[in-house]
Amino acid sequence: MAKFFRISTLKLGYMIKFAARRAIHTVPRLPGISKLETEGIPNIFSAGGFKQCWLDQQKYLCDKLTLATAGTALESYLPFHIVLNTAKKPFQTHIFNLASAAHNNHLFIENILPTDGVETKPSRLFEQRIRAQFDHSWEEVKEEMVRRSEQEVLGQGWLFLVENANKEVHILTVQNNGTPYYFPRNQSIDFNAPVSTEDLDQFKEIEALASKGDVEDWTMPLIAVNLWDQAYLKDYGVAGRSKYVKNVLDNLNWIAINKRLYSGN
Amino acid sequence: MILGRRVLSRTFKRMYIVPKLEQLSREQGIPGVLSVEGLKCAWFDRAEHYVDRLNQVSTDSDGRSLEANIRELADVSSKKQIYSYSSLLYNLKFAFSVLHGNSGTVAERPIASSGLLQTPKLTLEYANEPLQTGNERLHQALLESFGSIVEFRSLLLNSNLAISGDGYTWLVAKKSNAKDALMETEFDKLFILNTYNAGSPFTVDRTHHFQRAAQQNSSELHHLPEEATNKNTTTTVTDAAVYKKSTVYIPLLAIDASPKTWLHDYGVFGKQEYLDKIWESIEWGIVESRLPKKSSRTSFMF
Repeated sequence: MAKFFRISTLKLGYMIKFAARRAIHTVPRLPGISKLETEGIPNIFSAGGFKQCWLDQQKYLCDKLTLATAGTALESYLPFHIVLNTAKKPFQTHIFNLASAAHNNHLFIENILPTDGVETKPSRLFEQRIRAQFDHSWEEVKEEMVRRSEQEVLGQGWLFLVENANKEVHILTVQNNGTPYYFPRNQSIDFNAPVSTEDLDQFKEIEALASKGDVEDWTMPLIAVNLWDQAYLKDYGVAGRSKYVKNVLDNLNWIAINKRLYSGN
Repeated sequence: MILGRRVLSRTFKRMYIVPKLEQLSREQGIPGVLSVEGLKCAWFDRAEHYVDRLNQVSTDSDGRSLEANIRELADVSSKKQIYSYSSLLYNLKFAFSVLHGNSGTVAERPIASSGLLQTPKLTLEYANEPLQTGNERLHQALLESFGSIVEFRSLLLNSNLAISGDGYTWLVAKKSNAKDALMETEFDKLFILNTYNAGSPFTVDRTHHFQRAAQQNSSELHHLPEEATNKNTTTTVTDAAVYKKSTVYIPLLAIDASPKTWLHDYGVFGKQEYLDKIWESIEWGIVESRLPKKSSRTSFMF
């Protein structure tokens, strides 16, 4: 995320430099922003939809995050670092939520940025990995992703395709502002509705692992889809979320996504 | 021909129908709270969407009420979708049933980002307080439970503001434990309660559900360390008191936190403004009519 540092340097004695820095979170500037502002993102967002999802919502998240962290030890961290730092601290959930949302939304907008008429497609490596993992084509996995988002995220949330440390590809749904980077904070299970025994087992296992201390989770997101009302409500309406998810998955920026996949070098 | 089709559908399946609230019209919006378009998104489209989904997932409604679905299916994970959409529909209808508009006007454009930096006003009196509308019994009950109307209003609206995703903030009356089942329903104290997503004030005793499920599975969990499994089956003192199986909450008022209600008219920076407008639009007469008699017995509670 772009950040603005105000640096004041004090010279103390001979060689010691003392720098006090204060960070203000600002909305990252996207390439071709003026065109996005007037035209939106073709096949996904109108200009108004883009404004609500990115310009307004990202500003809201950045402003709130600045307010929540100013004057604390977290104030000079990037949202990504704030996510990792606060994920284990329930008493800092309000900060975690903002940082995680800001980071996820940036991932999301990056993987749907228009490519100006250049047709991009999944790399051969990506298609191989999808086939190896799911034994289905990418077209079929897309349908499964739409179905999973519909079944599993009743309220607000995110849909991810992630790659874990074993280089396996998985579909991950998260409630509200969970993060893909640290599994005890995936927030995949919605405890407000009836919970299946499988989900409960999984939760207990996660809890047991997390309580042991150092959790190593090297999961990286490949594709992020914003399922919040702020993203789709303006263009797709209350009943149109699945149509929107399908549109997003059909119009991805593969230049960005292919680069996220581990290629071994 | 038309008659024939109607008879057929009736014999095959009893469907849930889209609820109607008299005071809400497609032509007017809610004066001072939601515009025509805003109300369409917040109520009409949503009620229709939830009913559509409910009819898709329930094979036969058998004329079951939403409340029966919520109470009976809260633990049944195979019927999660039926529970969820029943609960969402019930909550939505409950929240909108008390909104009767006010004399103000709906903001013409969404709230600007500077709204976040506004200092809270130190007002101690607000428009549309229960006493002003002549609901003295409710006013007294609120004073006894929350101290003052300002404290009640702050707790109610701030609880809703703190919901980051979807949910409802409820004003509920805790039913006093009647010794005699034939006794008239009474309450001993009012509470503010948040529910999230498809959560319901009728199923707050969730800890029992988790404990029961954990006990069923305890034999399969032998690979976990001892203390991890034990920790989860111990209930804290607070849990025991608040989530007693016998505790029954009677909902009086619900406020929706979902962006589906406020995003269209107030914009991403406008939730606080929306809540202020909601307060001015609550019909306290309806809230009071749901309030049972105050219990005369004093019992220990907090």
